[in-house]
Amino acid sequence: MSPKLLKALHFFTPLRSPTGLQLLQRMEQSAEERKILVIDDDVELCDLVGEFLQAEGFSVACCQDGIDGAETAIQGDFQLVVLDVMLPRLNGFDVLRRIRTAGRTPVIMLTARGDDVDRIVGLELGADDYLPKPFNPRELVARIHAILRRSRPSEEKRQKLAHEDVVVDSAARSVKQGGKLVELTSVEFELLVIFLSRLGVAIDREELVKQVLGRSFTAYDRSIDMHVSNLRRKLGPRTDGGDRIQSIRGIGYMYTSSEA
Amino acid sequence: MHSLFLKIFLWFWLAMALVAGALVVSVISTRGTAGPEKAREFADHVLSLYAANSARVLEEQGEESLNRYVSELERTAGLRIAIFDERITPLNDTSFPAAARQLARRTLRTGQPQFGVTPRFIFASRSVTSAKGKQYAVVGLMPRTVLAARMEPIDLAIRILAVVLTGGLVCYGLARYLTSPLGQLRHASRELALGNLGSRVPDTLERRGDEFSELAEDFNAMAARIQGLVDSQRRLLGDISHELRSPLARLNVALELARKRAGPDALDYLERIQLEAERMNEMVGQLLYLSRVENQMGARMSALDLTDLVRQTVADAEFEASAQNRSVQLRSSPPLIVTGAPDLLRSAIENVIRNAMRYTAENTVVDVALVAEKRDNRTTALVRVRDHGPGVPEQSLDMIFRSFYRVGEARDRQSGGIGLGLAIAERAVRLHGGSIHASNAPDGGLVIEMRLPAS
Repeated sequence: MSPKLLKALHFFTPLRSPTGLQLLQRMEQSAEERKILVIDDDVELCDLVGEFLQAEGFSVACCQDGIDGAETAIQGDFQLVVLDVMLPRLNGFDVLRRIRTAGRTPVIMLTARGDDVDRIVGLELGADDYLPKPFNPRELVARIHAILRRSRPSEEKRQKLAHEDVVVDSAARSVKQGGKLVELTSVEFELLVIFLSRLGVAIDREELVKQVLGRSFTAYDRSIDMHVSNLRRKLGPRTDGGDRIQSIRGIGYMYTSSEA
Repeated sequence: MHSLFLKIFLWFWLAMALVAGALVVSVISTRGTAGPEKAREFADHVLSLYAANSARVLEEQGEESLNRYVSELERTAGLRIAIFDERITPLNDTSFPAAARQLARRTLRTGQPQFGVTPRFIFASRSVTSAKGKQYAVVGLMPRTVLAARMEPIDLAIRILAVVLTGGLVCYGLARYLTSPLGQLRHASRELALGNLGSRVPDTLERRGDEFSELAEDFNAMAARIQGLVDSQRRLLGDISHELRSPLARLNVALELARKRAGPDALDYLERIQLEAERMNEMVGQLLYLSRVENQMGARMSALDLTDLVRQTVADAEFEASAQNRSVQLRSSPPLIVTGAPDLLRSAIENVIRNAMRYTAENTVVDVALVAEKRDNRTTALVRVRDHGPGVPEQSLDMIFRSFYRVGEARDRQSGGIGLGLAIAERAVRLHGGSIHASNAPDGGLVIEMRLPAS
């Protein structure tokens, strides 16, 4: 299966044990109400997402077409815009262009097709993040928090997890390898966090599925292997040429150190 | 194309050369036959002398000497002479055609030299008055070939060459004219077969106004219809897949909302719903990818290192396989360069290896081999993937590349396959002008061979 498709498979659950990230999220939820604009032509989806975001402490407005959406986004006082690519009257990229000429309101693009081109165009036009549809709403919330935190860097202390040349900024949900930004899906991000927090320990596949995919392991489940494989490919070999992640025969995977 | 072209060209040329040859031979055999002026000259200059001599010999030495003189003349000069007296009685033994006697009669009646030509001989006749005052008619016969002017061999060669070359040129044109529409038709139909549904026969062919243009018109109509049907089918598949994403997106959000409120005993079922939604999403994703591959006729192709691609793919697969207590190993990897789209080729090879990993028994190896096949100066890259699993029933071997084809309902569903991986591989390989083939290894397990044109 293509790695592109895997990006469409974003079902993820935060770690069971509260991480620094989750603690920060809880602090923020008690803070003042935030206004989010969702621009998507699917009315029912807007309603469901609105309900979900409200439960997370946001106030939500919805627009169903591109022209209305762009106007509302520019005139209203929104902290963040969730923008679908496929819209009637004015497509998502054009809406994004209009929003960008007016200001710096953070935008998360929903790329419908898991399409690389959509994602790249969106990011080039100044989208702050993207999420392939269908998405997991918990992930949407995690990204909204990450972006809002990024836009006020001075207010929070950044949580960083680092090992050798890999640096994970869990607040901004970004990963750098040798100073370069690595684009990871959220499943890959969660995998990396688990690996780095348990360096040199073999973790079995069943546990990874539970922790990262948020469901129980089934007998012929191969998807976790693909995610680990993709993460390994994206991070590349260690500076000394060795494999960062090793597969342990019949068990699972382990993140290794150079000295190990 | 070349064989029909060659056949028409050579046959017409041969026919033309034969006709020309026959003409040349017949011209040579009759050519240079002396015309009337020549005959006259011959009569005046030669016959007068011979006639006088003959009359003298006859009168002075008798018929016997005349016969000797005549045969001597025939032997040395190739000239046959017949002498007639006033009553048209032949005076020597020479055999001669009836025409000679008529000529002699006319000569004696008119007193003028006479000439005659038959297909084989030239006749000339002349009257002569002997010393004794007798009138004789002397007829000379000469075979026409004796007088024919010989043609120089170089002259002959130039003429034959000119005929053959002109003939060749004309025949070449003719053969081209007849076969080039076939070439165009064949090119168009081959393109169509390769999946380029926009392939059409050029307009120029349609304007010829002969049977070929009717065929071309029919072909174009057929291609247009096929393209329309396939396009609408693909669009339907793509649209359905795309539309399925909207309810899936809503399902995911609703699922999370349900999780927030559900009691602990409902969580197992919600988890199950999540798993099924994941499967559905994966299927939709693969379907969309498949329709992208099918519509990617003009994908950006570049020269790429197949050896490197296979090595990387095997390394990634081995990484995953070993966690599943299986193994993937590359047995041979000669250097091979192919022209292709890296993404598509990688996904083709990856899908085939993944399929093998899914079916190979635990603690067994999936063997991957890269082979350079050389035939007729062309190199083909062969990627062979062999698993140690249950194999596939013989009658199903050709069908495993169809989308959603399942060999055994229960087993495949359990194995987690969707039924699109091999279909994607097949489309991608075909897009690169290659072929894919499945067979069972004699000692068990499935062998899938992908062949790609290499440079």
